[in-house]
Amino acid sequence: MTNHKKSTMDEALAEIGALTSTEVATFDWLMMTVGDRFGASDRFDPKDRVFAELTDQLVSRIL
Amino acid sequence: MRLQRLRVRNWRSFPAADLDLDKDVTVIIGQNGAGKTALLNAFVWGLYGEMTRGFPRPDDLCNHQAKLALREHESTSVEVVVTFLHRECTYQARRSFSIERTGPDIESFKESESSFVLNVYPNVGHAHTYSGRDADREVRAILPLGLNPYFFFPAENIGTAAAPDRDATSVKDAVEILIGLKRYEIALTTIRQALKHQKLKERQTDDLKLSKAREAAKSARAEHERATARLNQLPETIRAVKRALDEAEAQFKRYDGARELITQRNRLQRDHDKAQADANDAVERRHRILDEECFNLFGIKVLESARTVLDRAKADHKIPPKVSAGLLDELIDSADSCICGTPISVSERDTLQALRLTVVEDTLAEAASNIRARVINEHERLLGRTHPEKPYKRLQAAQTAIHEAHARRKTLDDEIKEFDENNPLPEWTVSDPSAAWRKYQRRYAELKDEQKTLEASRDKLLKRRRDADSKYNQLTRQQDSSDKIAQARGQLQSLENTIENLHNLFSSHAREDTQRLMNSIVRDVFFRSYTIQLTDNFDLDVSQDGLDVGASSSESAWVTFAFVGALAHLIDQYGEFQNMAEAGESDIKAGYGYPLVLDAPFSPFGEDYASQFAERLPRLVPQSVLIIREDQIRHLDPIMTGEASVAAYLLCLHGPRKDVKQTITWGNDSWGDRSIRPYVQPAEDPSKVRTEILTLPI
Repeated sequence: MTNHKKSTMDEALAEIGALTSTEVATFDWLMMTVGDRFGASDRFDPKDRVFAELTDQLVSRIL
Repeated sequence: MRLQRLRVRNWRSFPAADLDLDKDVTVIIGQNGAGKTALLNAFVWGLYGEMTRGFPRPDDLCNHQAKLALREHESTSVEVVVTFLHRECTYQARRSFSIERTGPDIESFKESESSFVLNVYPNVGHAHTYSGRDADREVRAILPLGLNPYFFFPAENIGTAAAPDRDATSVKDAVEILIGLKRYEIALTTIRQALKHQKLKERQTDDLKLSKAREAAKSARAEHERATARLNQLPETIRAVKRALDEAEAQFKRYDGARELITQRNRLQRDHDKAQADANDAVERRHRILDEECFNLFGIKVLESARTVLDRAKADHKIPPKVSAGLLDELIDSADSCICGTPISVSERDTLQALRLTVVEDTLAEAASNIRARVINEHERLLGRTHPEKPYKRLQAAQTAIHEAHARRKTLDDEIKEFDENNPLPEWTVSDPSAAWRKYQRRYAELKDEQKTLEASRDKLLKRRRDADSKYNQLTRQQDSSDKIAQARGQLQSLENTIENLHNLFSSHAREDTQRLMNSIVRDVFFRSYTIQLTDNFDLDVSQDGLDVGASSSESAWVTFAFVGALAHLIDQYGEFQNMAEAGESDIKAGYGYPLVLDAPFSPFGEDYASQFAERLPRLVPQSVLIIREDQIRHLDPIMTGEASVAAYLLCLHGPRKDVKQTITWGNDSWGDRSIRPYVQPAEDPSKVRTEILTLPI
């Protein structure tokens, strides 16, 4: 790993490390669910039904 | 990723075609209209179900002749199969749909929905089959949809891709897709929508409202408890008061029966008290008189005044001694002691006697009388107010009053004693049984009233208490909910910040990698002396020797292909980066990266640089498929004379040359006769590179 990349990864880990454990769990869940729902798609419509479901799920999860 | 095979059936102008792509370079040669772009589109449709960007979807994907050959209710299928290698797995992507002739009319066709199946054959382990959206997801995870235009590239449309002075959106989008930042954008958008979610917009309960409700509930509880305690306590209190009342009543009755005697005795007592008061008043009065008249009653003062007068008369030789002696005797007698009881001292008496002895008799009676009058006058003047006899009389009156009052009181004492002996009265514990009886009666009535009032309000107080408790509990629950909402909002905002920071961090990181790699490619692969800068906004600034490079066709092409080359290398390296894991090195490695399928690759370069590009292409990407027009075949010479393993296909517009294999010799030496399809001439020199040309049927 180059120093450049290592530094980037360190910064990224520091960003995530600043979250609480609950927030990390939500973050992991959100990124995984986004991956599942949208795959590697580079297109999404915020008005999409799937997208609205994801938003509802996120809100239900944290409330 | 490495392409292995493309197989099409009834696809556009191809009834059938099967291309073995497992070479470093595959050349597909065709005239205009031979189906070059249809082949490019076959890759994109086969993998993504879409046309290459910039190409509208044709009305008819099915081969026209195959369609016309269908009879009524007969159907056929359109199919594209792309086979490729990726990370130790062989993938076979098969997309197809069927078409049926539904009537005799030439337009009566019905197409089914296309289906997509992805078979995955790992080198080790079992095969997997994905279909539909799962298959789409798998393919897009290998090569994102948004990046396919860079790898199935219509070079004639190079203006739509990355180039100096072009809109940075495409570069920015590509880099963000490259590093998987779309996921972060989707996550961010999700979070931002969640922050606006109805459930999170509920207003938080006002603390003051809750505090007031708490106080109200507390007060209602206390009031109810007080009332309950009071109600519990009241019967005992009432019983005690009733007992006291009964006792007071009994006393009052006894008292009432002896009322006449009591009146008589009270009268005697009053008289007795009055006599005592009179005596006290008289004593007080005597003291007051003594205080007020002490000077007047004190004879020594008179003597002093008289002496002063006599001394003055003697000095004038006008005082007859006898008269003066008599006066002095009188004075001495009257001043033997002060009426207030203060005795004249021995020395004072001696002084008076001495003075008497010194006085000589005076025979002049008249003079004596005058002097006497004068002395009396002087005496009165000196006394200032009154003659000494007046206060003495007042004092005597006071003493008489004292005597009389004491005598009267003593008499009354005797009378009371006698009355008490003759008239025994009943006993009572209070001084005024009547008042006590009334007091207890009033108190008893008050308590009974209070009991009635409390009993009447008990249910009301209980209801008020329950209402207040209920309201408070409701607000507390709301507060809990409100706290949860606040917590959820905090969590979302925290995630929003983190994801935004990660987005920026990775974006910046990918931008730097892309810029470094593009510079490396233009310098080490293309041998151009450009310096490329990718700004924070992903604008491409290209300069050469300190001067800005314009947007000519060939310059744009060098930069664009540098960008494509950078993507081809980085996309593989960032595959793991999307999952927050360690990413690969950002340097070019031979045989590493993604293949390029280029339609009309030499178009943007013109005559000057097309051959240079052809020569350097194998160093840019590990695999390329070049779909070119016949008239540009000469630019392939550097590839064919190089070390690349090359396959070539000829798209024939005319003539049934199905499955005919021809041999072509590549190399500058063979370019002498270009007028008649030089690439189909048989090889003359075995030392030259020999390439099979497979002719594809139309």
